[in-house]
Amino acid sequence: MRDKEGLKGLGVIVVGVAAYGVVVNTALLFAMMAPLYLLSGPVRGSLGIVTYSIEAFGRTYYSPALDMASFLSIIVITSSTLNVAAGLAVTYLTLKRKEPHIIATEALMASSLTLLISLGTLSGIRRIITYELARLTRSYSFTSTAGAVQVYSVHAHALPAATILRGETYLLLTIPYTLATVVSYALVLRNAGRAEVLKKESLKE
Amino acid sequence: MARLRLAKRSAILGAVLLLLVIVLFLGRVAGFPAAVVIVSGRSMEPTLHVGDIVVGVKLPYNVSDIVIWCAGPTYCVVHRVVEIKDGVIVTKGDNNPSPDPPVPKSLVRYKVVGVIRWYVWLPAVLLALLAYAYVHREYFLKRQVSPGDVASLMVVFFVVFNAAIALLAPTYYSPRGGVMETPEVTLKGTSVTMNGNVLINLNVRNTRLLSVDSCEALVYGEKREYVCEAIVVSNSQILVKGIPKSLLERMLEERVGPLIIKVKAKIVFGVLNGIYYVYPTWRRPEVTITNGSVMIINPNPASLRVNVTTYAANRPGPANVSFKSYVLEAGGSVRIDLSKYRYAYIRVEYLFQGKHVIIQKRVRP
Repeated sequence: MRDKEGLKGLGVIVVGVAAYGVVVNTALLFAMMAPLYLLSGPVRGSLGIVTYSIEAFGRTYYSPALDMASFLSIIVITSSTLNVAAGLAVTYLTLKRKEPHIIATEALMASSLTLLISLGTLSGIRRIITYELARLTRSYSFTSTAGAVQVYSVHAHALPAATILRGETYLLLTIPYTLATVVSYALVLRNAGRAEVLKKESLKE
Repeated sequence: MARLRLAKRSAILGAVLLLLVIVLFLGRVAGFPAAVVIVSGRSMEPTLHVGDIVVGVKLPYNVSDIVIWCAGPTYCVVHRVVEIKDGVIVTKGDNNPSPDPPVPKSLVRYKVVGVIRWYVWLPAVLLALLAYAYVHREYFLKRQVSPGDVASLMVVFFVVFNAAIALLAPTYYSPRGGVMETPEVTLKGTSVTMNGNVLINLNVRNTRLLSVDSCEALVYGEKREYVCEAIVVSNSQILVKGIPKSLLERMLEERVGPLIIKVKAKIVFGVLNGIYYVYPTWRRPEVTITNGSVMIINPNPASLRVNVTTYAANRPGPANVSFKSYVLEAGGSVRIDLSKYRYAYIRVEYLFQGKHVIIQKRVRP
């Protein structure tokens, strides 16, 4: 006989982990797609990972580094999208069946592992953005034979999306999530194994 | 049965096509005669866009051809050739304001001979994948999924996807970062105009002179500063007016100077604080004699006092001596007519750069 209370508790855990994953990955997707900084001054515009629009001293500015970051963000976006899709699928199926769905939970675990793989890329992208931001907001003042030319300062205003990628916040959010999906999948498998054993025992009786 | 044959055939075709694509994309790593590359930057817009596939072939190239040069397996550039010189080529992105640093010709791998736009190949690939999934739908729907199958498939797919992104699109990362044309202002020179104004000539690039906020003039070694008026006369010139005439006169007559002009000007995107040393070219007055007339010209931008003594007579013996002092304005002159005399001499005295200069000339006969 199946332990209905245990199943319910397991379902709550799985749905909880899935919901947490949906929230974290949605935030990560937002951080990837939305502008991170607004620049003002002689260099102005918006700077984000997927897209940027910067005008420097009256001319459009193109950066190979930012283009590369934008291209590499496909990896993180794909992973986060997988996680959101898996999380929603797990939540829906678990609530519908009133017990965890093994394949969906497995997919959730796998997608969280892909997120772990993409963290390295995300770290690199963050470094590129930080470096470019420092480059863009540097002092452009200089001294020449004409005298001291004091160029107006460039100011960067951090937008909400930047908070998500600030420091190691994203690591603190994603690593525990991956661990939780692995644990919940292991629990679901263990529960499925016990259920099989109980079913066989009841048939024997 | 027919369906099974179709599924088998499409699987084989799919595998062959996939292999061909992988070979072509990795061709640049292995040095094949042809290769394809996905454009990952915007430096070649509007000619090439992000996501476009360019087909490169090992062919000779000339200026204005688009080439693929690589400094490493994942470090490649797809730009247009702008110059070919001894052993090196210079390339430039159509969208970049300035060319790339020169690179050795040996780094050029391919000449771009064709482009497949992203809006052509991407929908085609997606359609092909959908068609493949449709043809094999029974297999996918009826297949028994064991624990671990889904996770393995997802992780393997993602790892392959990661590798594909890294290899398919060569990235161009320049340590210089993006090219930005920052303001440049340098001094070309200064000059003093005939009406005693100072012209400051500048080389101005990527910005514009807007207005002058303040101007002060002083003589080197002296503390007293004079307020002057300065205006922007063109994008590269500042005209300084209102320099006291006495200052210039002192500079001409005595050995003082140079003149120092302090200017604070507004430029687009900033402020220019300049201190300019002005060294006027002082020239001695010209004393010319023509048909018994003496012309004294002051070619300087400041007035000059000259003392003229004339000795004139119509017969040998004591002469009429006449002494007069003239103040020649900047660029001004004076004419002394001694033509009515049979004998005439002139003595011109003035102070020039701290020296007492005396010029004596016979006017007649």
